[in-house]
Amino acid sequence: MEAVRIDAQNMTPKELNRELKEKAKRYKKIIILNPNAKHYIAAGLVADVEVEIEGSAGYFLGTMIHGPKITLKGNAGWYVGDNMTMGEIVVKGHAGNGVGQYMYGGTVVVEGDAGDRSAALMKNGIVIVKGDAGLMTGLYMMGGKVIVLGDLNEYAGEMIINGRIYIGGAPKSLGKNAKLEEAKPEEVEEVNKILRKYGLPEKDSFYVIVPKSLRPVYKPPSGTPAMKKLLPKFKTEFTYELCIGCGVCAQVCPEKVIKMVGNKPVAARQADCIGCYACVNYCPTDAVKVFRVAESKTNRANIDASIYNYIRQMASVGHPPVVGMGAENKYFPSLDQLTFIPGQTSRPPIDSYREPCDTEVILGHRFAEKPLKLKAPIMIGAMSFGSVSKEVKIALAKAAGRLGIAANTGEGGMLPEERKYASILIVQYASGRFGVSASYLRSGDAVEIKIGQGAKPGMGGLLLGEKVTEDISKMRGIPIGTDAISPARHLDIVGPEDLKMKIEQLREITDWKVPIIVKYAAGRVADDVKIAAKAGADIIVIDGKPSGTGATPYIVTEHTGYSTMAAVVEAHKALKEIGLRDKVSLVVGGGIKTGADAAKVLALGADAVMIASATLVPIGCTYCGTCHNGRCPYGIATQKPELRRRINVELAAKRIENYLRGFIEEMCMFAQLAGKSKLSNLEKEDLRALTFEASMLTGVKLMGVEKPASELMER
Amino acid sequence: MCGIAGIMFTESGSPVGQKLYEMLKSLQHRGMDSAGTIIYGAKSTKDWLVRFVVEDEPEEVAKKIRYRLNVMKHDIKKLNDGNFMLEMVISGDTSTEELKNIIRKYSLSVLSIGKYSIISKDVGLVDDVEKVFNFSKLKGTHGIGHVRFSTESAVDALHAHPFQTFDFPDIAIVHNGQITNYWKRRELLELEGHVFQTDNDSELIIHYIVNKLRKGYKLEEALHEAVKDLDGPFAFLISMPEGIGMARDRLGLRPLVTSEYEGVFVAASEEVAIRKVLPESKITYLRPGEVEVWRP
Repeated sequence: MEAVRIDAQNMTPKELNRELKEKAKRYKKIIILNPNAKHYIAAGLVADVEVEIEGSAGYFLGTMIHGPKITLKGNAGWYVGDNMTMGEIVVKGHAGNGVGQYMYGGTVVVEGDAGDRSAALMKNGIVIVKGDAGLMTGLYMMGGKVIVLGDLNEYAGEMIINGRIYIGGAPKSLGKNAKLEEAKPEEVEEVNKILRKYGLPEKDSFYVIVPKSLRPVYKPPSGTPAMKKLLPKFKTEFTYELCIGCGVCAQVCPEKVIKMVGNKPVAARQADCIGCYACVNYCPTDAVKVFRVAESKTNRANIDASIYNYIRQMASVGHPPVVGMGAENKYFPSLDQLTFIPGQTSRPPIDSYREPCDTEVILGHRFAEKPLKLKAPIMIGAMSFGSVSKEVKIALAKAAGRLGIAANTGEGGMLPEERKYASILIVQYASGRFGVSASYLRSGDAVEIKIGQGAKPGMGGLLLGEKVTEDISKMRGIPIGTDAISPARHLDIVGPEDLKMKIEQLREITDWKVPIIVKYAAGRVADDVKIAAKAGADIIVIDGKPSGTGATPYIVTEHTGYSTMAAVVEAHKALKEIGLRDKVSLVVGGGIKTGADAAKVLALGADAVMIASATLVPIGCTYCGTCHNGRCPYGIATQKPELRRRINVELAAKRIENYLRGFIEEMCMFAQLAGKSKLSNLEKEDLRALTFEASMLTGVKLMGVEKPASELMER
Repeated sequence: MCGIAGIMFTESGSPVGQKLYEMLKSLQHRGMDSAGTIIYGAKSTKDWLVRFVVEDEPEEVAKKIRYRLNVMKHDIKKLNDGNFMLEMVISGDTSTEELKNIIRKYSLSVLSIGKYSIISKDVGLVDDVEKVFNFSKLKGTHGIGHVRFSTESAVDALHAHPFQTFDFPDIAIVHNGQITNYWKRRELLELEGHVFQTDNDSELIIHYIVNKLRKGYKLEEALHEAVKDLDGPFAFLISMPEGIGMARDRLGLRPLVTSEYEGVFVAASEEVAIRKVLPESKITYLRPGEVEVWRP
């Protein structure tokens, strides 16, 4: 077999990887000399090739490889074999933290010791450590095998959900949800077979760490008898003259509020009504009406109905109740507090019937070879397959494709149909890394690193086992019925330097072609934006409040977050301060529902807007907030076939398309009446603030004073 | 934020500067905003070496200080951030109080102050800082260094690390992380009379450790207390004439690896930096919440 040598002495990781990919096409064996602990060696290499590395490697050796056999003569840094899908990595020396984290397949062998958190969030494959392994081996492990011949340090198998950890030595202590067993003889034989393959010593017996429960974070109700909710928020009324007694209303009601008494529907449990209007929508004769009841207060303590019912609910279930959609909170400042002012004769308005309005925008032109060219400055926000149904994903992709705007996979992997219909598809890279592989990232037009989400900032995600059906389990690489956990932070992004390394790693995998997006929940906006920009992001997405989600504790969504309106101004200012405003694109989302909202956000400094929840309204969403439990009566946030059938994909796609076409036209109207022929020319001067508060938050001139409120304060 | 490195030799006159320079160069990818080192045992006299940051007319400022204090010599250099650096050698007989009074009187910005140590720090890459200070030529016993990726505070020479507060000359810290209960802890320390110069969370760690040392804790104990009391992600090295202490937060959110070979102790954020000094030695990961102290 012909072998070829690469001397990496004076190469950057980028040059080395390009050379490696070139050589892998022609040779079967490649020897790398002088690796000098470089990071990202062989990142995303897809080839059937042997790679021998004569020395030590830095972070992310063999990340996301598919096929190669890598032998490292020296030590490896952190995250060896991160997210790999196929192939083999043998480390002759020691390895740092995170060996085989997020793995989907293949084998990693460490002949020395391994650091902490080996096999974290691993979905499948084999990790073998001949020496000792550090803390929390198998953290959040979701499948596959770990074999450690030496000892395991503390918290072994912390939060293990699936898969098995075989140990030749002894664990110091077990983590949450981990349980120690004696391995069965046939298992011992299987493990020894694997060890034989790699010339490692065999053993007569093994201990094995297995999960106590498949659903460690699921909190079952406490078993205390349910308390009735007392104060209704909605009132259901029937017009019995029109009712034909068909019973559809009772059948579609997700909360079982309506009961048929003979042929007659009655609202038997009115206080449970969540206002989804399914009964109204599906009644063939318009015999049902639902009204919102004015929020009533209880007698003395000034508790309103929502919180009163909430406490009663928590008293039954014993943990904080979860809701979908987002906050009811009315106290976040609204973009409605700003208004556009027209051009008249000081500057003429542009005629919207006849004259042009350019809507195209290019995002991510900083480092990426292929920036995103959007026909209109709109990105559809990330909603995962899992939180929403397949039908919704396809309808959104179709609409986005027809309009030339960006769709987003969300964190649950990519549907083939999505890629087929969306002309611009952003692939999301979130903390659970579900469905992530080199080919997944390469098939996207941009990669979005999700750090946070506006509706539940600082919280991880959880797709409950009920929603993990066969389709979802295949896509995410986890067993049916297990909870799909996305930790609150990426295990390998804990600080700014980690983000920088992550961006470089993803660039190596996507060959520096596509833009890298960093998505934040608005918080310490200026600091975070500066960090992402300095770390090398092409596009920064800020998700403010109010905004939507599939599931979040009610109390969190009501009491956390940062206003979209203030966030966009801060992000824009932060980028200017570090001199990167022209290089880094800024996209802002959170509560944007109409072209007016979007035009205002553009005028305040964004390059594009992100909309997510509002795009569900054309499919039928009524913002009722029952997205978390799989009972969505419109087939949107559910995986149940009988509910999903209620969506006509083609019609839904057409309606979303119509809505967004109107949306773009709306944005144009504001630009044109303000005297601009391009959407991107909207600026702060085109706005006036109606309230002191909005002026303080944004620096927009206060109406009637013609000065920003902050200047008035200075006097 | 950042990459950190520390080294200690058993003999004085060892190439601390050169080794720190190499280590920081290999950690450069972890932060490019600013860089710096503190090196002990590199000064031959017991005089104060004080470096001020002056926006303009450095000679005027020098004249004012010379009038009040026993200044042996002074020198003016240009920093990478555009300001001037006024470097003064002030007689070792001058008390800390006298120095502090002058600093307050003229509202001077102090880049560094030390009797036993030399701090070199500025914005820019390691090489940019080396150009201004030539710290790689310094020989001594031990030192620590830092490359910074700024998170929540300003980018200028004053905010570069090693961070020092002029209440406690010759104690410095390099810190990778944030203290998320900063204001709570600061209030408690202020009640005990500590005066904070900045809002930088690294300064809090110095005050915290000094506070414990003054109460009679040993450095190891003080570090253990710090791990208990300080929240958030952090890994830091704290250096003083008596040695170097280090700690990692209890969740192990920031990296710190160490190694020792024939009396040379090395610590850094990444193994690659250790390999610059000790190519073959065994690497030890500091465990979450673990602390370590080296004394020459």
